Amino acid sequence: MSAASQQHPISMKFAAFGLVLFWLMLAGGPFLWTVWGSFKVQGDFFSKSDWTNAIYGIRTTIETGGPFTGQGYSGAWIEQEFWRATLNTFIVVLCTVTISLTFGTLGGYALARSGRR
Amino acid sequence: MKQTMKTSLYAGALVLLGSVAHAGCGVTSGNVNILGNDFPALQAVADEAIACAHDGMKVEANLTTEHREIMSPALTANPAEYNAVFIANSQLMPLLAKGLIRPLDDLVAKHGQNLAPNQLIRVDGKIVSVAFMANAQHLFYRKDILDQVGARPPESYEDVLAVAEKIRAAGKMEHPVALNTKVGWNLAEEFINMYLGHDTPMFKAGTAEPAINNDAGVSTLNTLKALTGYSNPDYLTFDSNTTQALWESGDLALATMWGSRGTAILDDEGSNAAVVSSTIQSGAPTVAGGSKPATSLWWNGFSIATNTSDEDAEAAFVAMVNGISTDMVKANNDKAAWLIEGYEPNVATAGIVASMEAGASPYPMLPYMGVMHTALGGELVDFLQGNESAKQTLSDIEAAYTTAAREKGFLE
Amino acid sequence: MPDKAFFSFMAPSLLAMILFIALPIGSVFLQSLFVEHSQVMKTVETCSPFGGCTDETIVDAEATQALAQAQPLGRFNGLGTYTDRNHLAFDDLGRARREADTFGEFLSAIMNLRFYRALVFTIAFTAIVTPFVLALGLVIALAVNMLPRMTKGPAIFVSLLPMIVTPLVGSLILAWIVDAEGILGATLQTLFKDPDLSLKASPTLTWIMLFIYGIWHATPFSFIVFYAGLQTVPRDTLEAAMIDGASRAQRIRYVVVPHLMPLVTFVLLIQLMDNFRVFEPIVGFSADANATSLSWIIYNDLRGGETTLFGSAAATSFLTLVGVIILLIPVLIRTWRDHNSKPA
Repeated sequence: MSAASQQHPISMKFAAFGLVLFWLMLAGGPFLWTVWGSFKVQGDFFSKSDWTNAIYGIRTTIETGGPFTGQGYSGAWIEQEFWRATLNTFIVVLCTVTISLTFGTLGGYALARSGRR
Repeated sequence: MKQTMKTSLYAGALVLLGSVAHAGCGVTSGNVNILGNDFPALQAVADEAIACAHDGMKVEANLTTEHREIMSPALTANPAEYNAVFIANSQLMPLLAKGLIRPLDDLVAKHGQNLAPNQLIRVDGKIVSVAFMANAQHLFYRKDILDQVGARPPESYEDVLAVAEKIRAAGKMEHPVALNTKVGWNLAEEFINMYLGHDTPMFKAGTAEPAINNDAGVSTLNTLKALTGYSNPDYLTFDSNTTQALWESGDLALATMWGSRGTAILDDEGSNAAVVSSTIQSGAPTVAGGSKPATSLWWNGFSIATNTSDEDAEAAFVAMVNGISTDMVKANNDKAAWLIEGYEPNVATAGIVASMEAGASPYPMLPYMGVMHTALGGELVDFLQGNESAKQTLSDIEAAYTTAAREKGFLE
Repeated sequence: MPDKAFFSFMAPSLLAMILFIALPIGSVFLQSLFVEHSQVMKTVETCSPFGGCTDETIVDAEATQALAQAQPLGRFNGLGTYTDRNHLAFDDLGRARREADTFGEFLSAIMNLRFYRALVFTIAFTAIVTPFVLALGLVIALAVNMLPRMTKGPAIFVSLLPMIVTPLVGSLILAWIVDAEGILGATLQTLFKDPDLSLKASPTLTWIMLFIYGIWHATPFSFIVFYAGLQTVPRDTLEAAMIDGASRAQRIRYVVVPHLMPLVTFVLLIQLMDNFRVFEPIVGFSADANATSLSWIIYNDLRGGETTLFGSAAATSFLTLVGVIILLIPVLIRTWRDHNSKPA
């Protein structure tokens, strides 16, 4: 499928690869860091004294006995009732998308098909 | 035989009566719905109130940090969504102005025998709220660090500044001081506390006109600026959660924090033993050579909604009185500085009690205080960042306040 | 399409737009013309747990309620709210013009007024973030297009993350990282050998941080739109250009970009609207000490303080609406002209 006309020089490919890798680090890095930190306690991830605590989980080990903990997730999902917020969001998304898609499609079809200006 | 039968019958009846007396708390029917802020002391009171629930009486509580936003609309509805609300003193006047809470005189006469007279909040001769706990911002200091630099415990904010300079000069900490200086409500609260320490009124007597563009105002601003000079450069983002986290990480030596944070700071979570053992809480410092502590006293209490049936109002009142019973205080002694009989002051709330006893002013319960609070929150930043002079900032605050007060109808 | 069919197809959308867009805007405008009634106040004795009983001023609830019931909308203020200090501040502007000696002084007097301070940041945010988003999106789309087929899928998924995640969550995540004690903030402090360096402390750095957040958040949108457009670039035209001896850069400039022009207009339109209503990063980064936007001061009027100022918030909302319309006029005219020039 790749005709000779579509081939790029190797240097261009490397440059593109490098740029995309850099961008992916910028885009995904913060989320990776946050997911890693979600298994630590507040004293580690939001440590005011040393940010590397979040990597090794020093206070997590002191407070929960191991470098990883599910405390954050149980605290959010059960204690703060995040499941309720998720359910509410799901209901809102379902209704909004259904209604606005329906109305929008009808209106869009009418506008596209009409010869009006 | 007959004797033992009678005794056991009596005993049985007593037990039954006892359990009925708690379940239901003496109310046969009613619907109680409580709204309030979400922190441990209120959770304790709400839990005790919920213990009154039984078949004929429903008791539910919604404790949320969003309570301020939903309280007014929820109480305006008829029938009100909640018939008992936990309020702080700043919320009382706005609710009274709209007629959303009812006088409690007859309910207090009927069910409030155990309430201390200073718990009853009276406005215009009518009891409108029952207070049960006090709170205030006061000083926290690290005894070990003060000992290392040879400083005495500070009594005034000028002392605090001197000690901070000693700590910085000794190379121990570059930013030893913190206050709740987050832009907005927190920063305005620090200004108000410091201003109250000057014992000067904020408004012209009997009117809603601002009167802060004076020496007390300038002194307040300069003291705040000096204190932030010893704070971490991010001080404009420090709310009470951040200052607590900073304290627990051992980065601070002197901080002004809410007394209600005392219990959380002295526990084992988030902090190490060295910090916890050397944390001392003392009353709020004075300022500018005055004798009044530079802080404001806050009370938390409950009120009953107007737009609810008399039967439900009585049930709510009884549930609430049960919630602030001496038994509850004995079980939750450390959670707050209770105003209830049976409370034993302890080290976690020493600062609040000390500030009260030193004669600190209560937070002004004026209907236009909220407008001033908001105006302060927006305009103080310019001075602290060095963009404006003190006089210019004070006149900006007064202009912002006047504009908002005109819109709210307090000024023409 | 016959008229009846046209209207019956359009009816649901038209009804929804009238109910949920036109009527609320009309109601907000109406609200902005009114202020609250004069509060009737009286002095009474107030008793509190501390300080015993004192004489305090309170609001006479019955008298004020009576006023409110007689005229529920409030006191008519005309355009007074629009010209007061919290909005267009004509009085303060006039005074500043008379009293300022230099242009610098006049400028700082303007920036002292909260509406203009917010307006300047909002316009700066829109003006800086939008072109960067367009350019970066195009560059990344071109780069991803050159990747081997297997890696394209995951690359696209990860690229979309900053846009998919709720703006508030995204800004909080970045705020924790650039915080002076966070991983990036601490690294910057070490790099620049300045232990006091804090992105949240200085206004300039805060603005730059917010702009970077805006670009980070919006680039995936323009990336995905341009990437979709790149799949439809006519191969014959590209080959013809190569046969004619065009270099890569020339091919991009003379074939790819003109083909993507309608998409550029579309993304520009969406980005201008989105960036003008910037709000979440200011909350997420706690940046309101250094940067406020129009949406933020509306939120602050309604939720940020002890009191709610409905009239003021309504006036700012309406001014924001006017601002967005002014901003979009050039783009809308261009779209209208393109639409009219196309054959029926």
